[in-house]
Formats: sequence, C-alpha cells, structure tokens
Amino acid sequence: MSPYDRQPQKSFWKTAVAAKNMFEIADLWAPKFQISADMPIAAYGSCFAQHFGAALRAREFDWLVTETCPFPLTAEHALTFNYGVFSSRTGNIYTTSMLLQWCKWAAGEGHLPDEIWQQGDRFVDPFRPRIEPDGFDTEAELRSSRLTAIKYFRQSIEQARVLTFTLGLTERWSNKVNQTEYPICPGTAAGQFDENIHEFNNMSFAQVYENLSAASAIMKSLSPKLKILLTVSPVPLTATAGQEHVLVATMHSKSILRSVAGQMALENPDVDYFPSYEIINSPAFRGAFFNPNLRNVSHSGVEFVMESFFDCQSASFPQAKKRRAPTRAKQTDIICEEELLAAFGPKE
Amino acid sequence: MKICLLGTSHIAPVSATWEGGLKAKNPNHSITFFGAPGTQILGLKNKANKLVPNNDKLAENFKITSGGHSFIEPRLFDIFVVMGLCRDLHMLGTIIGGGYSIAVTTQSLVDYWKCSNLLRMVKRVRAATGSPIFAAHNPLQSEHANRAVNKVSFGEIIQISNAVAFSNLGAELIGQPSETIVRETATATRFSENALRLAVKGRPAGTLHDTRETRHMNQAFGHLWLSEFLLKLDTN
Repeated sequence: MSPYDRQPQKSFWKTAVAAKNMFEIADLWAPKFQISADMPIAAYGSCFAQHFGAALRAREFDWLVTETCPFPLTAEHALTFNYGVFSSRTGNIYTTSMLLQWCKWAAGEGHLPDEIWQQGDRFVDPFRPRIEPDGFDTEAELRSSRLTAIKYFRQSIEQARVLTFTLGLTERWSNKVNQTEYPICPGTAAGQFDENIHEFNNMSFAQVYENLSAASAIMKSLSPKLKILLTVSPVPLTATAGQEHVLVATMHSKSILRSVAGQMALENPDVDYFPSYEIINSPAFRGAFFNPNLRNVSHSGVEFVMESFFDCQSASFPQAKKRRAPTRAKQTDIICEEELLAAFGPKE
Repeated sequence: MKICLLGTSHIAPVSATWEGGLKAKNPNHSITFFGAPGTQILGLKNKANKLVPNNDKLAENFKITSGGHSFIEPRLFDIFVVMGLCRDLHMLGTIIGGGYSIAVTTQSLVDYWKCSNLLRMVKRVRAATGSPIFAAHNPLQSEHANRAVNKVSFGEIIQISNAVAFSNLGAELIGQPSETIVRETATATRFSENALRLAVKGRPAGTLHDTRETRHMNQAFGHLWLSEFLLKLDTN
C-alpha cells in the first residue's frame, strides 16, 4: 500500500492524459468556490483576460461593467473606445505591480501622477495609451477620463463578488522619477523613451508575489467578501527587453507568474487559480490551440478553455442552475498594446 | 414659400393651428400636410423623384391629411419639413454632459442619428429633392412624466446633432420653441393638456388624446412651433 493507491484517476498521466483524446482531458480544476450566473464578476488583466468577459457575456453570466458607454454607441464603436473590454476602462493590466498601482489609486493611497504624453495636438494617457484611439482633445479631458476610470475601477471591486485577474507579464517599464509603472514601454505605443527617466525591470517571484498580495489586500479591504480568481495568460511575449531569447524569456516569465498564482491560491481560501495556461500550453494539447504564429490563442482554444471552466464549475457545484449555452457572439478582436512591440523587430 | 410638412401624429397640432388662423395671417406661405400615425410614414418610397406610399393605408392617410393628395410631388414645394420619428431626444443630454470624451460623445451622437428614423426619412426626402429640408423632433415628453435633469441646454443638443448628422445632408434639425421647455428635458405640462390626435380614417380632426397624454401636444404648442418656424423662414 502506498499513498498513490488512494489517488484518483486524474492523478496519473497515463490514464488522465496519455490514454485520452486531448478533447476528453477533463477535471483539470477543482474550484474552491462557486461562480454562478447571478454573481457580479469583474475581469482585469492582460489581453487574454478579455476572453473571460466575452465568455461570461455569451453565457449570460453577470459580467460586471461599471464604466459603461453612452447608450447609442454601437457595439463596434464601444470596443473602439475600450468600453466593456474590462470592467472599467483601465486598458490591459499586464503585471501584478500595475494591478497594485490601480488598487492604490482606487483606494486613495499614494499619489496620482499627473503625467501626460503629447502627440501633435492630441494627448495620450501613459497608463492607458490606447484607451482613446486618437488620444484626448485636451489635458483636462484626459485627467477627467483617468479619474473616471479609477472611480469605476473601485466600484467594480466593491460591487463584484468575484474578480478574475489574468497575470500576463513580469517585464515592466517604470518612471524612475515618480515611481509609476506604464503598461507598455514609452516610445512604442506612444510617448518618448528617455533612458534617464524610464527603466526596465524583470520582476522576480518575490516581487510579483508581494505586489499581488498587496493588491489583493487592498481589494479585500474595499470588498471583504470578494473572491479572486487568478489565471495566467498562455500568450507568449511579443518581445523581451531582457537578454534572453524571447522563447526562454517567455518560459521564465510565465513560470514565475504560474508559481505566484499557485502560491496565492494555496495560501488564501478566497483566492483560486484556474489553469487556462496549462490547457493551452501543455504538450498534451500539442499546441493545437494556437494560431499559426504560435502566439495568439485560436477561437477554438478560447472556447475549449471556457468550456473547461464552466464544466469544472458544474461538476463541483452540480446543484447550480444549468448554465445557458453560449450565444453565437461575433468574435471580436482582442485589444493588446503589447503586440505593438512586434513592429520594433527586424523587418522580414 | 410652398411648404411640404410630412410626419407622424405630431403634425396634428401644427396642422390645427395653421387652419385655425395662421394660414390667414401668412398669405405668403402655403403648407400641405402629409401625415400618418406611428411609423407608417416609413412606407414612403422614392419612385422617379416622387415620394410615393408603398401601401394603401398610408396613401389613404395622406389623402385625409393633405386634402386629397395620395403622394408627394417634390417639385411642387420650396421647403420640406419632416416631423416626428424621434423620441426622447433629451436623452442625448446625458451624453453631452455625461463626462465622456469629445470623441466618444461625437461618435455616440453619430450612432444615435444613424439609427434614427427621422434621419432615415430626411435622407429619403433628400434623394428626391434639392430643396431645403428641416427636421423636427417629437415634442419632449411633458414634465410630469419626465423627471430627467440634463447638464446641458437643449439648444446644445440640437446644435451638436446638426453638426454630426444633418448639416452634411443640407438639412437642419430644429428644436421645439424654448418657451415650451422646462429643465432642458421636458415640455411644460400645459402643452400636453387637450393634446390633439391626428385625423385619420374614422377619426375626425379635433379629436383629443385622453387626459394622461404626455407625448402629444395641444394647439397652443402647435401655434408656438409654427409661428417660430415661419418667423425663421421669413427672417432668412
């Protein structure tokens, strides 16, 4: 008799993976808490997080959007202006430090920088450089929009029962002078790069973990009953600013993010980890869910991830009301500033 | 000026005030009304530069409201007014003053008008004539039914709407008279008392809405509206 004798079938690679058609691999997640259709769910994070909101909306879950667009704006134009991409108009939050930065602003901690980038006669928000496709008309308009986003970010935390956060990157760009972090390197999507002001840092496990813990603590202080569901983006880096090959840098970065997410889930009863990263990236799935560029996740990959998510929820909470089949929502493009870095690579 | 005023049930108080006295006071103008309730007027199609109903019911209502014409011959008119087909215009005030960026605000108004039947009908009329076209929205809902408060003036809503949707069609959206508006969002309740219904088959002119009516207006409203409009024509 060994401890392995008591392990279920899912614990053994041969029976749980090797002997199965990859689409039959199931039971990948044992959710800690139920996520039901009537729970307001907020979502933030990297580009991949955008799929979460769309999947929830398609299944008529209560996808919480606190910063809503004006009523006549068409769905297409709402997306152009980044409404409904996340629960408020934060743009992509790639790192745990950037999440902490938003949480601090929302909680009124620390100082809110006044940095604005000017491009011709337009004004760009360094913390949401693509939030308005052509920038803002005036600095005052930008400042007002930034404060509005912070207000609705806070509201989304206060009103959500579950917040999903997708960890995307460990590499980050910050301002040495005012200690703020940008979602993307200045001089790429917008702004001017200045090596005297802007610095690169690839966060360690400890840094990612500390930032996420601190962000989580602020969110819990704003909403004590909030549950947090972490995922890790399976999407590789578009480019690295470090010295390693981008493939190695990707694995390094994703390994840290995956470890932090696992550690957080292990230590906190209100934090869970959903393995979308593994579903897309495990060799068991043979890279089948990537588009030909081996970076972007295909529509079928996203669908498989989300079906796994809802299947695992149903299996763990069978008493829950049966969820609706997804409506055939138009597949929308994911908004991802990080992809702009590809333009800086060698030309073919 | 030979004016063609086509529209929904909201032409009733304008028609009543014209026949009830303004016609005699304005011998330099003539107005022919073409009306039909609800959205029936959307059945008006452009056929060889004539605006022709695509169904008998609409043609019948045109005959009743115009005094015998079942279709519109654009070359017989100098000016066109399209009235109605646009509810709750004041809601645009929640956008203009709502803290959105200028780009978002502008795009929202473009999208609003793109979907509106009023603009659709103006485009249809424009395809049939090069003459000036004025667009007139439904009256704002009366104040006891409409508690909204706007941060911007109704005039601003009209001005921006013209800039984003009407001026490039050579048309102009005209707002209801300012003395009929309260809180920038509603029509003073006195104008919805004894509101007039449109005369159609089986319902004579002068028939009133019931006392709870909030969206249709009375002859006093029609008088103010038409007086202001005719003054605008005379001034220009």
